[in-house]
Amino acid sequence: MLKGTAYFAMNSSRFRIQDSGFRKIVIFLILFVSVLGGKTYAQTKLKVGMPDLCYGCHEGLKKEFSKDHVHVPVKEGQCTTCHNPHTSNHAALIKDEINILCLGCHKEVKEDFKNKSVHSAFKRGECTDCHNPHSSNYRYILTKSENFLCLDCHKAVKGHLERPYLIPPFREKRCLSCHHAHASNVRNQLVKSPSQLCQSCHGIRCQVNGISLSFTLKGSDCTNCHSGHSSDSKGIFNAYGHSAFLQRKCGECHNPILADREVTTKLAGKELCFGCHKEEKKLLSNINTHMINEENACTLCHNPHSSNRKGLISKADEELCLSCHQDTDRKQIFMEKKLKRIRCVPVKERKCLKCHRPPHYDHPLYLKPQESIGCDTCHKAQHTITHPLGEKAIDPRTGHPLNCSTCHSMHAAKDKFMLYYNRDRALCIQCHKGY
Amino acid sequence: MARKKLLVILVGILWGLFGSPLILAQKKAPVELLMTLDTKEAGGVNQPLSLFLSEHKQQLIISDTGNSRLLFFDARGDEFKLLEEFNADGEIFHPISAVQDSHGKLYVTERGKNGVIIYDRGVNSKDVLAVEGTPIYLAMDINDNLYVIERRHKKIMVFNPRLQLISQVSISDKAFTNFSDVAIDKKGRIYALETLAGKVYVFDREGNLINKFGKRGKERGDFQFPTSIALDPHGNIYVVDQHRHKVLVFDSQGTLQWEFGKLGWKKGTLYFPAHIFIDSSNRIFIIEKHINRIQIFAPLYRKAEGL
Repeated sequence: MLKGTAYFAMNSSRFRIQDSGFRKIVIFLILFVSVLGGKTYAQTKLKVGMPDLCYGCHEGLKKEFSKDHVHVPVKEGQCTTCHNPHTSNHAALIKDEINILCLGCHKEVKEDFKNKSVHSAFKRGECTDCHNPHSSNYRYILTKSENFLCLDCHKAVKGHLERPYLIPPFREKRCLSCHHAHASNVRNQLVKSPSQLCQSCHGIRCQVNGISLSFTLKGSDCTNCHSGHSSDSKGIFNAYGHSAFLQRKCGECHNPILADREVTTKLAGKELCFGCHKEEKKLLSNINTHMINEENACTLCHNPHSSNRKGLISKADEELCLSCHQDTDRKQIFMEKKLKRIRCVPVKERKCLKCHRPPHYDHPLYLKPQESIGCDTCHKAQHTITHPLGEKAIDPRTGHPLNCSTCHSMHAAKDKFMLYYNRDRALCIQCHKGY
Repeated sequence: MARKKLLVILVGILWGLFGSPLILAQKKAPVELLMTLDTKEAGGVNQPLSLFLSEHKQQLIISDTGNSRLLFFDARGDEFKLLEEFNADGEIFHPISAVQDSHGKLYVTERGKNGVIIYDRGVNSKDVLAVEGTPIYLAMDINDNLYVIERRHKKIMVFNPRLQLISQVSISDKAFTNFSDVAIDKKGRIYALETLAGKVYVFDREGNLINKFGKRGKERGDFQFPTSIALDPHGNIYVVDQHRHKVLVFDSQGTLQWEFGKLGWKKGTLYFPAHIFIDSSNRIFIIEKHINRIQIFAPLYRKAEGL
């Protein structure tokens, strides 16, 4: 047989075992020896079976891993499902990046990324930011009770607990009653549309001059007027209101409100707003006016009634801007992975409106008009020792005055310090060609 | 039998070594930079939003938006000499788009103005084509039919040379956002672009949707932020992707053929390209609004065609 194998290796076309019975026996023997041999090899190499072998050294873990909720591989003692017992390129000898590792089994969770509204921590963070990979006393092996876990990051929302008027689920910190932890197809990862969500507990009691608005508000977003969490005012109204709304002068914008009739506005779209906001009407003539040609140009960003954000901004920046500019977010995620660490807070936290103010700044990227596009608010020292900026320093490539974004790319940097090019040379010779 | 196998293996190796790299290289960038349009004589341009080449007059018309004027260049030959600047005695403020018919009539849209303003420079007259809503980009076919993107009602309006509305094109899908650019082929088919969905729509002369393709994403052939569309004389569809700093080229069925461009400030690279126009000689004009540059490219095979 050995002779035959060697001959096979030399010239396969000449190797023939004519007897089919004998051929079957050879194949069976090869398979049997390899399976048995492999198993015996593995068993004989381990002194003690898993997980006791691991616990032999990692003594404290066994107790720690026996909390109320235990991750299935831990329960089954399969430490090597996630850890490589010998070496790894990742901390704690895990086999791959943590998210890749988790989503390798939790394939259904991977589907959540396809939803319209994805929790930023889920999109950009690590699974272990919220979940303990081994065991926990909280459901879904969360690192903390859900009541505290969410509010640890959402500190501003935590402050809203101090307000006098709270809706019950928020008062009881039952965030998951209304929000999905990972993603949903409704904004803010709500489990249902705001109207469905609110009306699942209580009906519409809104009235204007004694006329019920239940007909027109049936499918409306309750958070147009009310806060989903808490308020300083009875009725849990949003913190900021349009003057006409606060003064209850509905007639300034709306046609007379009648029972069981749709509420309509006096003029359509932005024309209604420009009736009072005459200064803003000038934006129409600007070269760079973000979506100003759309009928709903104003209400794309502003809520005409009230909001919990200054300027009646209707949504958080991330939801407001990145729902359309998802490619910018993707580029940024790529940049964050490449540069490993981004310190620029507005960029990191997706506070788009810190630098961009569409459509109020007539700039191609809607940047603030200052030469430093607002970077000097934080980078005070850098602003005093930097390369000359402003009208006196013109970028020879573009003819534009230099500002921070001439060298730094805020969303797609390739080199450290969020630079377009390496600062040792490549960056400088873009303009200083003689060097 | 063995000979056949050997032949197959040999063909495979040869294909791997020479065939596929050749095809890939061809698909990568079969275009060259002809020139960067020199606008110094006109004092440079400021945030130009669009351009149009009048085939009848052989004039290149640039909407020099930031300087509130239109610039006319001689498009005969490859030198593009400045002919004149036109602002209608200061009446043109921030022009978005300008096209010219075979008689030399100019059709202009402006920021903040309703309607299409028509300048007949031959008899020095001005007229306004009333368009309810917000007209932005214009296109004109070889028969002098005028195509107007009207953003407020999310439609493309088609006017005949007598300025009678002959058809309107729109998308009934609720998820449709708006049209951002339009181009017309020789057969009168309308190619329209939707930026936020990353979709190209193809309509026949009657306005029936006959094809659509594209999506926003990160795969090859996907768009990130497409802003402008043009057609070459062969019917290939060129789409400018502003955020990828590239131009993607599709055949008439929507299959990606090649793409060109990369982020940069040097000649031949692209920095937030915003608008594209292709003339009948297959010259590709690309506006980089952010850096006030207009570059002219051409496919490598253009010379072979004697264009």
